[in-house]
Amino acid sequence: MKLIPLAFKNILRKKTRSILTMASIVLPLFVICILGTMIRTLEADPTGGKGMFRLIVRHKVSLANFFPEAYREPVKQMPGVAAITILNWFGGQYIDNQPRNMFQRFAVEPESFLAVADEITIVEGTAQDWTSDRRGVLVGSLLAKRYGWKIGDQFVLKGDIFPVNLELTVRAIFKAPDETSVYFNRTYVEESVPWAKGLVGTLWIKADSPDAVARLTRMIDERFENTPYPTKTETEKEFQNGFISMLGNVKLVLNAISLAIGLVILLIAANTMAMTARERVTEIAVLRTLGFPKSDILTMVLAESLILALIGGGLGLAFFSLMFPGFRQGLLESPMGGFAAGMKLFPEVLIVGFLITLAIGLAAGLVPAFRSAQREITDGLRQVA
Amino acid sequence: MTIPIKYNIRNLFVRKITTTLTVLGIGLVVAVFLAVMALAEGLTRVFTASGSERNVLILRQNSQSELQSGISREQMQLVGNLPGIQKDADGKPLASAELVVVLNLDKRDGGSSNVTLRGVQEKGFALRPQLKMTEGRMFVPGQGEVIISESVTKRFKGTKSGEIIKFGAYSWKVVGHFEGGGTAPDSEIWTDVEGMMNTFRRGGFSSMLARTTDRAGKDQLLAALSADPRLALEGKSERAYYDEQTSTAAPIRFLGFFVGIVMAVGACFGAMNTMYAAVSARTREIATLRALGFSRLSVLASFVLESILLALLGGLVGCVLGLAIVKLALSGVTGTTNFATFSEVVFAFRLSPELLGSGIIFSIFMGFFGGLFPAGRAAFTKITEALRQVG
Amino acid sequence: MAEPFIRIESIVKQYVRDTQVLTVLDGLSLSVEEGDFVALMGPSGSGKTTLLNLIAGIDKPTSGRIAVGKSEVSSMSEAALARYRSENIGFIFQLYNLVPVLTAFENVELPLLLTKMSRAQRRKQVELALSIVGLADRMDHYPRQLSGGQEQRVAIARAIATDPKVLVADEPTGDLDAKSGEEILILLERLNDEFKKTIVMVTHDPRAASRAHRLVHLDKGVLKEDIRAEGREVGLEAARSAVVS
Ligand SMILES: Nc1ncnc2c1ncn2[C@@H]1O[C@H](COP(=O)(O)OP(=O)(O)OP(=O)(O)O)[C@@H](O)[C@H]1O
Ligand SMILES: [Mg+2]
Repeated sequence: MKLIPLAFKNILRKKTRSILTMASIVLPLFVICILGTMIRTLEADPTGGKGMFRLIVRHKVSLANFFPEAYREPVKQMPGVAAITILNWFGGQYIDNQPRNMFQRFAVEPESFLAVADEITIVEGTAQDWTSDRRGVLVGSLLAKRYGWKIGDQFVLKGDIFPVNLELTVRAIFKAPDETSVYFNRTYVEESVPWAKGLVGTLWIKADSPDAVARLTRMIDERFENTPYPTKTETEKEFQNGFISMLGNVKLVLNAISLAIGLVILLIAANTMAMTARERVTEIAVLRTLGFPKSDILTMVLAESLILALIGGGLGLAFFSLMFPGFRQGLLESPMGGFAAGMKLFPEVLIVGFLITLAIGLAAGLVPAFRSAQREITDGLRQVA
Repeated sequence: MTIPIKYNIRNLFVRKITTTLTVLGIGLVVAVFLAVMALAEGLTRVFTASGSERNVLILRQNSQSELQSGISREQMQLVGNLPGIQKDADGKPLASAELVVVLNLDKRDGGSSNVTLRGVQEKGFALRPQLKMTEGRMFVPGQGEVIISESVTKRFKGTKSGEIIKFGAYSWKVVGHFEGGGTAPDSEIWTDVEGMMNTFRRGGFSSMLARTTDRAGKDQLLAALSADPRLALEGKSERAYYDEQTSTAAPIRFLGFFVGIVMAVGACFGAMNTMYAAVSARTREIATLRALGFSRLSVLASFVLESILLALLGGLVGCVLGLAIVKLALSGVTGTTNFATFSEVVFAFRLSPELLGSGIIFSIFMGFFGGLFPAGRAAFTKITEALRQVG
Repeated sequence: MAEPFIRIESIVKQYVRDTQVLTVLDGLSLSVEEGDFVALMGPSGSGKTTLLNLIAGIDKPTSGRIAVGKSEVSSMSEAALARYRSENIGFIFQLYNLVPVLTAFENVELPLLLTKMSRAQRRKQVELALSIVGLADRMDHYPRQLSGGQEQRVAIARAIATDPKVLVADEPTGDLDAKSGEEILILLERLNDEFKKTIVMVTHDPRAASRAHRLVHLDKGVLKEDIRAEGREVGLEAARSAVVS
């Protein structure tokens, strides 16, 4: 411990080197934090925990197949169903296919929709305004801000799966964990696209207890097993994870890249420590001649490595925290916009970033520290720097 | 007068540990860059290799993909008679009306994903001559039989020859496998379209693919399609259709560049550190060289060169590492979902010689920028002062 | 008669390189009285530095016994040796070996960090040591701002800061001009005289050796000559003859 002030002085001795080493930690750590945030976002539950109590029923073959609306009644009668609604993916396009104009569009049944989607709070307009207007649309507040939509504004969605151009009027704006969707009345679609009548993409169910969730999953699928439209029922959480698993093993890729970046920082820091320790062989031998025990030398070299890493890492984390809102904003406009909406400044990411820094500081200093402490004093004194 | 390169090489070997650590750092950066770009390139290649310029894909207006499109039987008849379409030996148009549906299948490594099930007409194969049967036999129409690309079989459970794909009342027997030379059908399952329409109770098709006689024929067909508003269809060359989908790889490419550049900056600083240390350890040596008559410029060049050599070594290590990763760890097929078609694209990592070359160039840049400032310091030290310096 | 202060009994120091055994010290015995000032001479490679390192406890003999005061140096553990060095030995190097990032004051304070002294006590001690070497006014200078002779004086201040009984010096004037060397020698004499330090000094310089009270001549790891001063100093003549022989 006595030599820790000396560790600080050593860092100041080679300023260029220390600055370069710290700088080489800042940016990569920034990237690790971003990747970590992405991983964490992938793991996050966009329904804010409600997904555990909610179920999605879709056609067993895939989400792109429809099944009859008539399925709703028998399901509604099953014990444990607190609320049920119809949720159809509309697709289509708003203005053009630019990334900034991509968001999710759903054709729903307004009254029952609000009963199931209870994480939604309407902040402008009223539920009544929306449900009573067949051409009304309920929009997320993030989208309202992005496009400057106000209550009463109109916009057009060009259909693709359903060949119709919907002329929608903003009737209500909502806040929710995910605010990048719009919801409108499915009867409007059905009126214009006759073949779509009576077809359902998904049923969305709120269960009244956790037990009911498992029971319903089984019951619903068994009920329709041998019909021309077999179903697959899963919790909303599983359903969301399904999308992520469709992307391939993203988490593995992100983790692997983070690991590689960590290794690069480690190599750079280790290089600095190796150079520093080598230049100070004689000095360390002198310290030991003066009577400083091996443990003091070990601590000093390790401390130097840790200080360098922690300053670099601290700057990296600060830089990340500062840049994050802007970065997220930028990403919102990119092809990853929908995903970026779920990104937050997760404290876990900062903690992991700090731990990585700590680990790098220790690992980079370990070998030079031991070698410095173990070297024979006479050896060290004979070495010409 | 230039300082012999031998001098630089020896110096790199003298600083074993530092050189090794720096080389490994740069190598790792290059390897990660290559691996991510190989992923993007593999994915892009599926689209760029798919689609012929002469084939025209016909979709409903405004449809981004086949999955969103729909074509009725009547429309199909009308399209078949449009000008520009090549006639086969039997006098019928060389065209195939097709139905695509996505099947949600379980992946072998966990999770599930959508795979395109394509129902084709007889001419569907002639339109895609790259398809080769590799195992089993062709499906018999109307029997609920399918053939599956080998790549899909590698990625999805229950898709081997002889196995049955079952979704409640739906079931298909796998009777054979094919291989599409890395093109789009490699991500698909094929069956006959009429049987499939029965199964799914569909009255219409999704899309139509037609071979045109030549460039003029193509223009003729495209013009005829857009001239008839009642059809409400649009055509584009198959190539153009797939080209639009290359944007699927854009986020991966972005990730590759983003991570690559940020890490390169880090590695650059690392190289700079190494070179600064090299310069300061050799201050007297440099001064001696200058006293011997070597110019500032040759000292500068010598150190920049040394840094580039160092980075180049890293680049080579990175290429070897990247090749090893891609050939050993990532040799199989992988896949991701193309959200334009809402189905899985199966592809292999592709580390082309061009990509390896860009990795090397990338490392040279790191070396150049990493060496420039330290070399500047070396070139501008005062000879007299440097000679006086101890050790 | 009391036991001598430094007792070296038939020590052997060997280095094994590959299969070759290099015997640097070959059964050497030597005693040094408390308060003595011994000059160690001998041709290059004769084992002077090795012997000095053994006394200072920074190296261990292959066999034999070394004792300094009550400390059995040759049988001590690493940790005990470190404490022994800190409490009993002041080491003076040919190349001063000051820590470049520390000021003169901080360099001298360094060994005091190993004691239980308070900050104020340390300050007093450092000021005392620096005033003994005549550099009280250079406390805040860094080593590179000092001349060689001054650097060596700071190094001596560092060596005496903990008030050790023994000072060992390896060619302390080897890197200095005659005048600075002379100042260092005067300083060492004064430390021996006034502060009763036992000094063992390796040197090649007969003029430096002439100031000692006793001159030990080493050759190929054995004691060849041992001259005791009749007066206060061995004198230049004896020192010269030692070099020649
Ligand atoms: N660690 C070691 N390994 C091998 N041989 C060593 C080692 N340390 C010292 N020697 C050898 O021991 C012999 C004595 O060395 P020492 O440093 O004691 O000589 P010296 O009398 O101080 O010489 P000089 O006057 O040149 O300083 C030399 O031959 C040297 O090469
Ligand atoms: Mg010596």
